[in-house]
Amino acid sequence: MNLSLRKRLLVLLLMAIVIGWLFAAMHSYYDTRDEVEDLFDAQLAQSARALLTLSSHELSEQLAYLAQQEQPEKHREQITALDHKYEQQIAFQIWQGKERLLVRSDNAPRSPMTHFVNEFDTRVIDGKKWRVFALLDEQNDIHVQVGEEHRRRDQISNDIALHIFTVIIVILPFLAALIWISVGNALAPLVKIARDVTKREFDNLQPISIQGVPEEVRPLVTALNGLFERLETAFTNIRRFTGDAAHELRTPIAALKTHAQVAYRGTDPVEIRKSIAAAITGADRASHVVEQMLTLARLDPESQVIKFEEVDMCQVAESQIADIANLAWEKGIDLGLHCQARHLVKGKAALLAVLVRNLTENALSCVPKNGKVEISIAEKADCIILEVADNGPGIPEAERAKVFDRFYRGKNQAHSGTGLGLSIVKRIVELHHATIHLDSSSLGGLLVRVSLQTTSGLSAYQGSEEVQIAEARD
Amino acid sequence: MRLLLIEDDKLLGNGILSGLRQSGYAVDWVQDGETAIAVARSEQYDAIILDIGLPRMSGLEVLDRLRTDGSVIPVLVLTARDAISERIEGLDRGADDYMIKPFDLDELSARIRALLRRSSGRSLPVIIHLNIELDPASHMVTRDQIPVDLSPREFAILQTLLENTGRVMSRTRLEESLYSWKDEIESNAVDVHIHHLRKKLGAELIRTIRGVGYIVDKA
Repeated sequence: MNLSLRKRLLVLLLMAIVIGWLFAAMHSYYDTRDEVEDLFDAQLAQSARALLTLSSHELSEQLAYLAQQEQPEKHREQITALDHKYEQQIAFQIWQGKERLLVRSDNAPRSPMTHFVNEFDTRVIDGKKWRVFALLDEQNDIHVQVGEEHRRRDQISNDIALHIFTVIIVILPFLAALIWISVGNALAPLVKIARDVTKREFDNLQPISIQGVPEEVRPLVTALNGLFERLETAFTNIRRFTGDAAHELRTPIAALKTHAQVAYRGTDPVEIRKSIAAAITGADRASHVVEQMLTLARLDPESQVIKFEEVDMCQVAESQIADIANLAWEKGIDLGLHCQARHLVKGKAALLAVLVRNLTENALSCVPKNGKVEISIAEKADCIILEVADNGPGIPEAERAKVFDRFYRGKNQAHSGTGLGLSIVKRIVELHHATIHLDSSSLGGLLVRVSLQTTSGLSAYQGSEEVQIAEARD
Repeated sequence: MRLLLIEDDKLLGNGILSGLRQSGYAVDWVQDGETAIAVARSEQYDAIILDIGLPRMSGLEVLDRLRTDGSVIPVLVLTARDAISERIEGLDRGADDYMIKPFDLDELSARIRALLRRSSGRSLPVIIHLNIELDPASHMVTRDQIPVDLSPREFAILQTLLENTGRVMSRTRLEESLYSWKDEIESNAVDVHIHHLRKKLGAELIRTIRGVGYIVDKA
């Protein structure tokens, strides 16, 4: 049920109130009925006692006379009806012994109303419910029976019940209105916050003021503000990323366009071919940037869940390096892989392939002609260590932290990278809970060391100093 | 017209170089700021095309150094970022114009022409001298409204002379406007071009200052 908070509160509160009220009403109804019963019974008893006291004395003599006359009917007394609605129309019989009815009221039956003495009884007489009571004057053997129709009592009880319900019915709408207004009032800060948020421009991520916000709503506002803050950071990152991306794409596209225009204007077929070839190179570079950006974007979502599998790093490295070997050969670079056995790690093969490839390509693009790039994979202290070493210019210590930033390109830009390669590497390293460390290689250039988790996580090897140093520096 | 191109991206630099040469400019290309400053100090250029995003020393630093040297050479800045603040900074620090990558080669040429025109104190796009009209944009030269067919180098010499009427242009200065440093300079090339120009445009237009160079007198 998708009710508004206000409506829900109204319904719930009204329901609670009505149920509570009903219980209270029932209780007081039964309570009152018992009281009424007691009261009426007491009056009945009192009437009987009064009747007995008043009559027994005089009656005893008269009765003796009357007993001879055998005309008890003539002595009946006329009781005039009163007008009050709760007026008790008590019927009575005065008996001598069990058989002889001396006096009875108009509304009393001719047969005895009860067989009990000194005890209240509820009986059906002539199809009507009666409450009866009897008293006995044992001395004179005078038996007084009083009774009244139960209908009176029921009427009073019903009147009381009706009254209670009428009050509920009458007050309920007012109560509903009051609840509606109060709840609305209490919810006003929420409405205000909602209005504030609705009115916002999509890029307005200023925190919502916590002033005047009720205590219950404060966690929500605080959570919202936290979200705004995270969004702001994400937006800034995205803005910077798209800015950088545009920048990175612009140069190759500018080159592509310029060469295309040169070719278009040219007259010498050889020059035209050269320009077109250069334009194609520009297009390749632009698409490489796009490719790298897409790779990074795919790796990006924070919550990404990657199914890890057992991956043989050596196999991954072999296939990647076989792919690039030709490029190295063309540049006259000595590219070598040292991998003795199977080295299983927990990871995603496709991502680890990108990692190896990016690191190797990076090294290849840095080293001079006839340079040297060495890749080695070994197991050390629960970790599989992948090392890529080259004899290129290396990276100065001060710059090492920055190279993982997106679009960062070293000050010594001999090669035309996208500035994304190492960002991708770092992301893959993070996803694998691995570590990456840059150092100077024994070849004279850069050494990149990636420590990956083994599948077992167990190794007989006792931690080497080298790894510990690397980790300490990270 | 001799231009200095400062662009670190090899592919793009190569393209601009070819494009500007097609437009008849002599272009020298350097790939970093320090070399650029050294070259700009030692050589004579008519305009500089400068990429802001240079490694090591940024394009803006190069610009600062040039202006500190007192150079008034027209500088067109190339940028890969279109943030207005960056463009304003470039212009404020002494650039004369800017273009955002990727740009149109024809527009680049047109802007360079405009820069050169302004730096020589002209505002009309066509140079008119007596009965001769030279249009730098279309590379058209007319004599008495009749088109004259000139080679790109003849055109460049004529433009230099006409933009500097009343001033003697040394043979070296004229050579520099023709050749970038990679070109082979033939020792008598300028004289040969002047000879052809006189044949096509009349002997009296260009006067020889013996041992120094050539001059086109003010009209």
